Amino acid sequence: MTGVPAPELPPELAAQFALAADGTVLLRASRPAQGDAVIFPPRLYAGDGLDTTTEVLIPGDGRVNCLTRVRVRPPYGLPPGYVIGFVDLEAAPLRLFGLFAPEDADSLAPGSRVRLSLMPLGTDNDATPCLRPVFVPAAEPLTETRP
Amino acid sequence: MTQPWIAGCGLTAFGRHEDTSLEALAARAAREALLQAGLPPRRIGMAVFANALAARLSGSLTMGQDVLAHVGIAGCAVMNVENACTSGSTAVHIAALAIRAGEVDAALVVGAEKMFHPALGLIDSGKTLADTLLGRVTPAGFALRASRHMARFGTTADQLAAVSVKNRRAAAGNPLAMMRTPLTLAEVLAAPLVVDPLTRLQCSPVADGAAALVLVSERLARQCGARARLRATVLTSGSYDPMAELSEWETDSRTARLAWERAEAGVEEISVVECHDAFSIAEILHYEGLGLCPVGEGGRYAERLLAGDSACVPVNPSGGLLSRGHPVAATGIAQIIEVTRHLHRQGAPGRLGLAHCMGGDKEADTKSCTIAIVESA
Repeated sequence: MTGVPAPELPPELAAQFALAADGTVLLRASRPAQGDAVIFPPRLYAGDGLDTTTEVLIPGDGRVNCLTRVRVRPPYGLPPGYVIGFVDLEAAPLRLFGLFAPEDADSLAPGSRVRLSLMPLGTDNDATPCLRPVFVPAAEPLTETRP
Repeated sequence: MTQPWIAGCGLTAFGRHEDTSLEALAARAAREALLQAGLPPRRIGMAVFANALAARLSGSLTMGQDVLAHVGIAGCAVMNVENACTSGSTAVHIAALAIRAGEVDAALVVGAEKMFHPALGLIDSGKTLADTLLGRVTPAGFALRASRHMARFGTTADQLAAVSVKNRRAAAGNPLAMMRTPLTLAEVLAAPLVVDPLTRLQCSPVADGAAALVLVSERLARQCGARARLRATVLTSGSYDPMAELSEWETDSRTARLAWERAEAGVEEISVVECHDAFSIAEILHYEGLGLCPVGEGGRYAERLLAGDSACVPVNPSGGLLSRGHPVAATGIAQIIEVTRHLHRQGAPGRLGLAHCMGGDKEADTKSCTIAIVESA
């Protein structure tokens, strides 16, 4: 036993992402008191009456809208040439900014299907190694075929 | 309602000012503006000081009062403003509101920044934002917009680079600009990549610098011999639409519509534009957002400007942020000064120019956007 604590999500990210029991990474979105809109990043209040929102957890599966590679000295101990971009989610009309897993980034392009995962990557604001949500390639959903 | 008039302008060279303090740079610009207005410091009823980075870099807070003491201003209303890249233009907007409201007859606006500091690093939108922790540095948001613009409209790498070449050519004639050596398309494209597809020469350089304006009421304008007025100033924030198309900038077009409405004018009346070309793609998006060309035509508009097409409105004749340099809180004020000076060089009264600025990142949008419409008198 080394006594080194396992990396965790930094509080800034833990406020927006949750880990389900089955290991799925979910977004902590908000739902207004009226209607079924989904808001992300989460808000405390919504609507003309500024009613308190409720938390709704939604999956991070979606398709790459666009991506780019950052070539300058990476912040937070991220790997050189890390890849970031936007993903259009399937669960709600939301376009989510995020990191792509370094080892998978080369295989992704606009339109690629991805899902959110969690992995140790870089450090937090205290320079402590931490977890980060990252998009990884996902299989295309099965389509029903009829004979 | 009285309109704010521009009675005095002060602008330092933008670049590296290692031996000059932030206070001294700001005071130099303030002094120049006050002397040009011909107003003694005691006539200033309100002063607004803009700075974006000193609190982070040097721990300095509420610097306005310290700066203003150097030019003998004390006792009046003093405000300190931080609004990212629009800090300076937001300060102008606040002062203009005070003049329009009749609260004061004369206001001094100063914006200053020192960015050559070992602690600066990459600019982001704040260390407590989730996107920052996910690696979102400022150039990345613009690079993603560029990739969408290229995919959707066929905008080319050459067209992006044309913005840098054009603005560098313009800066050659501006002795206050930081980068004045002409560039070729090949040089821009061969520069190291910062964030794909933006090369280093498509990103505005950090700079030290200061800018100041004296705004006065119509009554005082005659006494000061002011020759330009602010027909409109507008400050908006992003709409943060979670599905906004990145290759168009709704915040730009919405802010422009508000500016035209307040100025009772249209884009066809504008004879010069200084816009927030923090990155080459930004200028292309602003052509479209401001209505200089249709959506999707920005790349071609850049080529036409580079070719000297006289049917195009001159954009960033000062060199823009890309070549003049971008000392964050001075930029928005400097743009209004450059527009004013450009209109004065044109000579004719009644001409309109537009200064446009954007600041900060939030949820794939900007945190703030300003437009000032200047009219020569």
